[in-house]
Amino acid sequence: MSKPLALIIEDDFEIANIMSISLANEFETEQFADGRAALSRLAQVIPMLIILDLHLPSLSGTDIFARVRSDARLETTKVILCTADALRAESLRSQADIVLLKPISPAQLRQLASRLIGEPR
Amino acid sequence: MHFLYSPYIVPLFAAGAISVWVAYYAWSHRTVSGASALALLALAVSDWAIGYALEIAGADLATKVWWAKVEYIGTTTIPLLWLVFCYNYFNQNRPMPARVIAGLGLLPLLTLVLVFTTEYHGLIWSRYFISRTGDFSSLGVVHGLWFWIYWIYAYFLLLIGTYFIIRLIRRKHGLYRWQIIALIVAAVAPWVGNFLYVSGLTPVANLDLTSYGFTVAVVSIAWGIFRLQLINLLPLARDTVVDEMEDGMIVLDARGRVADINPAAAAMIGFSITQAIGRSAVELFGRWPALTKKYEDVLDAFEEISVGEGESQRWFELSLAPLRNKDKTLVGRLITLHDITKRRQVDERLLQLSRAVEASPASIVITDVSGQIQYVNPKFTAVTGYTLQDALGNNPRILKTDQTPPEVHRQLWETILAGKEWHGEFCNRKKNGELYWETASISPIIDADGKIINFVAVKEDITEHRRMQAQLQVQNRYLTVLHEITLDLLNRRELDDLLRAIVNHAADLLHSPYREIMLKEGNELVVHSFTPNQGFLSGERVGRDIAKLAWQAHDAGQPVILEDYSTWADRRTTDDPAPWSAVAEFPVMVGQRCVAVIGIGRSRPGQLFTPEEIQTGILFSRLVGLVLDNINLYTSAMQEIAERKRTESLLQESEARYRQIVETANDLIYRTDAQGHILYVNPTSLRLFGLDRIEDILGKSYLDFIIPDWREKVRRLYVRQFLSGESNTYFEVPVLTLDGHELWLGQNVQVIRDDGRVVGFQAVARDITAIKQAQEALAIARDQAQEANHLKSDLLARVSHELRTPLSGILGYAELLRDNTFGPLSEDQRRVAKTIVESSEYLTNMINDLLDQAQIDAKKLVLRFSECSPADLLGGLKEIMAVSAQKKGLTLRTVLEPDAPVTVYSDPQRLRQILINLVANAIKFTKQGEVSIRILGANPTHWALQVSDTGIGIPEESQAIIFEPFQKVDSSLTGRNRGFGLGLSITKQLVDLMGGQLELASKVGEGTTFLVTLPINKR
Repeated sequence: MSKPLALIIEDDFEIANIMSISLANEFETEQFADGRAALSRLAQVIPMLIILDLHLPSLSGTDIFARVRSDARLETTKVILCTADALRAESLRSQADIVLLKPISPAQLRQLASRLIGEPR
Repeated sequence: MHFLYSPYIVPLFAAGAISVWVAYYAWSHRTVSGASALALLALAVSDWAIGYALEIAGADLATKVWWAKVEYIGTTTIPLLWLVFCYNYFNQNRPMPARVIAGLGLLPLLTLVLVFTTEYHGLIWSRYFISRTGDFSSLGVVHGLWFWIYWIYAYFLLLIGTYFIIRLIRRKHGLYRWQIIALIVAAVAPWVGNFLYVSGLTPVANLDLTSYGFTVAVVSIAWGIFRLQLINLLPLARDTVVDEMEDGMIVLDARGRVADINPAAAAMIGFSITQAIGRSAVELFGRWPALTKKYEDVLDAFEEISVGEGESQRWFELSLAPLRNKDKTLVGRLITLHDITKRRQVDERLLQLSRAVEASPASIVITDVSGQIQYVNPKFTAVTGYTLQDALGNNPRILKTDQTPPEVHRQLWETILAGKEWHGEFCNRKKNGELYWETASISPIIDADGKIINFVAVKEDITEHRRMQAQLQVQNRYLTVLHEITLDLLNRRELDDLLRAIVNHAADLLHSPYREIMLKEGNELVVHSFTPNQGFLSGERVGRDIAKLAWQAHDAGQPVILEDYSTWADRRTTDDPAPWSAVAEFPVMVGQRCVAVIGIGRSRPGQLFTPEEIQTGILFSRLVGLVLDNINLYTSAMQEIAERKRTESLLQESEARYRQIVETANDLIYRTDAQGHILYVNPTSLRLFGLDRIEDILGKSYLDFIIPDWREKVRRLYVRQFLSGESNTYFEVPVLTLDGHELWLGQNVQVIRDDGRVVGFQAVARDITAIKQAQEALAIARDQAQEANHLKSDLLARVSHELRTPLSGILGYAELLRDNTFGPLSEDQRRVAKTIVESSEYLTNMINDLLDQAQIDAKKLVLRFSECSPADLLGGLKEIMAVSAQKKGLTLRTVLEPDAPVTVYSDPQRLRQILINLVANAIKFTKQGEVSIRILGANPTHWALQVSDTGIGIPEESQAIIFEPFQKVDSSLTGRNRGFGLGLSITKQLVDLMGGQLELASKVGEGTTFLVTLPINKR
């Protein structure tokens, strides 16, 4: 049985790399630095988890989040939002499954992701 | 001519004879419509019958032919006469016109001519012969063409005639039964005879029975005439008179049965005509047994009777008359009933009216146009003493006096002669000479032509009324005087003036030109007030020998009245050209003592004092008594006034002192009326406003001095104070001085009350311009600080954002390294990695705290409230904090007390933050033992979080400051745990923001307990 798919959409390569490494034990991960590229990939696959940075070039994380949430196909997909903006993190908390304020601890991310996919939507 | 006897001729002769008799009888009554026609008809019938008899008796053809022709005289006239009779009898008053009869007679006449010439043309008889059947012989004929033409014509006339008879029978309900039978027989008999002849059903061949039929008809009519008086009892009369008349008419026959009744009578007794006819009178009048009994056998009567009761009562004139025929035998009775109900009602009403007039409480006089009295009612007699007999024919002038102005009478006549009603008052004289007053309404009575025929006067005696009115006027005047005197007393007028005023009022009211008042002093009376020419002077002492009448009143204690002073034996001699006549002296009593005498007098002879006037005089003398009695009070009042004046001067002194304070005060002091118009300002106010004189400000509104933008607000404030009556307010207002300077005044305003009502304001104000300016400067500084905080908060938000991204890299990789993700590390390497992780975490916390603090400072921190569960909060917290507690070997205990609320309404994120801060702090400063977190219910509206540790504790002197930012208790105690920085301070502020309380209890070396009490905020 192959591992579940997690999409990491994050324009900072290093951060994306850290996330990817953190989740590597439990997930098959794919990294996207660009929102549009991520959206076109989302049209093909149904990931179990999306780690989404809100600050992205070309297409904002908020837009991607809105599309994912309005897509019935991605109904079971869990989303962890990441941001460096503390105030936005506050205001988004009620919408996403989890909102993480940077810096993100790999251990914490791993722990949250495992717990998140373990609970039903 | 030869004749042979035949038995058939006897009835024919008999019929002929009867017919002749009928003709004679009818002719003798030919004035009646139809009678002359009947007479001719009967003649024609007798011609036919006798002619026929002779034809039958004729022995040869020529004889028979001749008499057969003679018969035709009757035959050709009978149908026409029958028609005329029937028509005229039916249309009683419109006999058939002669030219119609002539027109209708042309054809019968031609026929008769043809009959007598039939041998030459055969148009009547084409053939004729002797027809014989046994012993009966008659002329047999074959009829020619004209006969049939005439035959049709004749039947036509007969039919029409019969038609009228039948209509008559149908219409005439009032006829006797036998009359009807007679008419029916008369109508039918000729037809039966003719029918039998034409149809050949005669007992003997060729015997024409038509003539018999007509005989029967005329006999039948004659019987009607002879026996039943068919012609005498005229249907016409019934129709036009009896049926139409309003009076009821009933004919009773000799046996008392109804022979005839007209519709009016039928309606009166409540039977229909057909029901009534033939019934006995007893039966008919069964509803009124008394009447029936009374008149049962009466032949002749004339009386008024009434039937029914109340509304339905009706009155009749009943007349009974016997009916006799020519030989004076009684054949019946005629009853007529004349309804006089209306007349009776009118009579009744007139009677009521006249009774009303008789019983009227007002006098009523009716005169003719010239004013001659025609009627007076009993009340008139009662009032004036003149009886109806006295008054009749007299003029109301008999009552006239000179007391009524002549103008009144003139105007009265003018008004009523113009046809209008007049109202007015008279003073009249009774028969016994007594005067009385009355109001009168006099109206003309006008007939249908608009002519005045009478005058009616309705008058009411108002003498008593006028007397009462006059008395009321006097009383009113007395009250007025009383009022004036009371005022005078209050105004402390001189006693003499007062007495003079009272006596003058009394004398005026009693129409007395002379007046005086004498006061008792010692054994004398002293004149105090008088009218000239009396031989007295004011202040003169009058002994018993001089003013005898006054002394008499004094001694009696009762008023003394003289009808004519000038003839009195003990009169005073005066120089007055008009001597006194009636004089009244009134003693003035105080208790049982007479203290003065008032005298009044009239000069017109005969003008006496009435009892009412004397009463008024007594009233006035009492008033004087009252005044004199009050002189003592007056004296004491004077003393009181002196006392009051002394007090007033004390008051004035005290006022002067206060004035000095007010005028030299540094504060502004001013007063306004209830509308805010300035009544007083102190000199300080004038100075401050740059005014020279107080007059420049008096009367102006306080609002004029307030800067325009503030006026409405200030006005409302003081209107509210006015309405609520609040005794004191403090308010700061900006005002404008005369030279345009703006000043701030802080003023205390008190309401001034008079009798509970707010009548004005009193203000004490201070110039607070300097204080205000300082306040404003402070406010600006505060705003600037606020602004700086905003900027700081924004800057921090931006900086923290920028710091977080690199921190992500540092923390992420350090953690991965530490956890051997990139291969196993040496001990040193692991320690370094760990330090990097911890430093990054510290830095992250620092950034978070700084950001929170900046948000709080800039008042931008937003709490996000939602329903949250304290149990979940506790669970989540344990999960996060358990690891760090474990690392230090501490027990982390969580307790959810049973009284903890199930849900609260709060910001779960901030609750977590508060708890994490407190628990992290506790773990940080505890080396061994336990850290416990408890959630409990504080009271019905609040809940609490309690975090306790067994740590080092906080010294008492530090407990006050640990919630301030960047305070460290003792760096020796914190050791390497740097950063006792913003955490507690933020926690405290968050608790405050959430409306809660953060309390601390600690003992050094034993441990610390933080208690956070928060509102439950039940939704």
